[in-house]
Amino acid sequence: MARYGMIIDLRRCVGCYACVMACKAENLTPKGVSWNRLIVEEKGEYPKARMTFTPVLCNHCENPPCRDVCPTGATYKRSDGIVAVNQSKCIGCKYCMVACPYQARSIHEKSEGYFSKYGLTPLEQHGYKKHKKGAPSKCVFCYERVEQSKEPACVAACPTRARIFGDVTNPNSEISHLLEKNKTFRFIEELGTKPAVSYILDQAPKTERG
Amino acid sequence: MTVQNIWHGLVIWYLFLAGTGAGVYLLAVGNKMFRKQDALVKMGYIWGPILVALGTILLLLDLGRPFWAFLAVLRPHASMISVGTLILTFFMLNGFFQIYSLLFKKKEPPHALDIIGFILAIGTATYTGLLLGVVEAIPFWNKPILLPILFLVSALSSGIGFLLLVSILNKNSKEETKSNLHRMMKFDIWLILIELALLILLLWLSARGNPAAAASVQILTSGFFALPFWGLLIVTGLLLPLVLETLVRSHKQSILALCSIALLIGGVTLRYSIVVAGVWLPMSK
Repeated sequence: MARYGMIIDLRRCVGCYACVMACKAENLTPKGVSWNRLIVEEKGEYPKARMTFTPVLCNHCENPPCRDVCPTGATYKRSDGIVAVNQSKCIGCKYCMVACPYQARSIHEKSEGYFSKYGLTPLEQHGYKKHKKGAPSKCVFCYERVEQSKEPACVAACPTRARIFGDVTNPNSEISHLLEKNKTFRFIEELGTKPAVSYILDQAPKTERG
Repeated sequence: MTVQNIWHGLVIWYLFLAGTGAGVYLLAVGNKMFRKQDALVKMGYIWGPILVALGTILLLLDLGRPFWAFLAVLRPHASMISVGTLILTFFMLNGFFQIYSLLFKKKEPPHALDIIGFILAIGTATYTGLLLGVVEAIPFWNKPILLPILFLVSALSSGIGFLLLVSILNKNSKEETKSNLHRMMKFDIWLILIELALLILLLWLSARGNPAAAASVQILTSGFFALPFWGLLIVTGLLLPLVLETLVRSHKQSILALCSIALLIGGVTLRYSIVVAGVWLPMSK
């Protein structure tokens, strides 16, 4: 069985937010819900100051704390490694949101759209059916696309190919190749979560790819 | 560093009410079981489950999908919420049965139920601490032994505050009830001292631990929650009752009322302080 993972090459990320918007458009996430976000920071001092962009999403941990604290089993891990939420089993206790070290979950609390004065747009009306009010949600690696052999929306939208998605158990996949060739970093590994999302740091030496 | 903003108001009041309810029950029923004094037991039977039930209502209101709450018992082997739901449910069922036999059948509830209720009340008070204590993503909370003990001690202390308040508001309080409560206040001196020690230990361990935990301590000692922390928790909630219980001999109603209100404020603010100061592990490279 495949085990899906992602590499984000921070040497290539230009902070354009295309992944954030592609995620919104693909998953029609309601206002206030963001499955993919950017941490924007200032690093260093003048004249060597710079801005860094770090896209963050659900890490699809091998040992997800969100699943462990879920009282109903609404959060579960698929056999392909994707952590998903069955919202009809969710009671909305928000324990998973507290327990996720990556702050990757957000909750759909109000059913107001982006243009609340005018009600929901037809697109929102369609999209909100997928999102139950009062239940937290998160990135699911676009499994509906992946099942059709497509890349997740954020990966397809990235103009610099900073995101690479694939099966880490397949030694011939691009992601396995990159993981082998580059020094990679994963967030908050000390909790033993074993994230499936790895980063190539922006200061890392250029390789044949970068 | 990000301060958690997921759990706030309603959950905090739930933690307080469930703790106080459990504390009231433990004190009153414990007084009967271990000291053979029946003067407070009726208050414990009635107010214990009622406070826990009120807290549970707040907890339900905080849920995103409250009508599905019955699903919360599905994973008691893994989730503290499942464990807590079971403990709360059995404590309330047991308590309401005791109230029923006391008020409608007019007879003393069976002794076995006292023991079961006592154990479930310890469970209720400690589990609220464990709920936060097992969250590894928030290092300030992640004290799975210290936090439950702190919450249990605080539950007993605010339980004394609540029992005092009820006896003051009830004009027909018997002398025996009052003298039992005065004894409780002496017991409370120890509780407050233990609570202070545990709180200092919590802050000390956190301040020298992970930077996120140190940030939590900073929020309480000099950050946005410093005023409630020092003013309402340390001074009003702990030191004032400590002074009233040790140095003031008089049992005037006004002094007892002040002491009880201060204890209750301390109980709420302790939970507020710990919950709002939760800081996630930093996402840094």
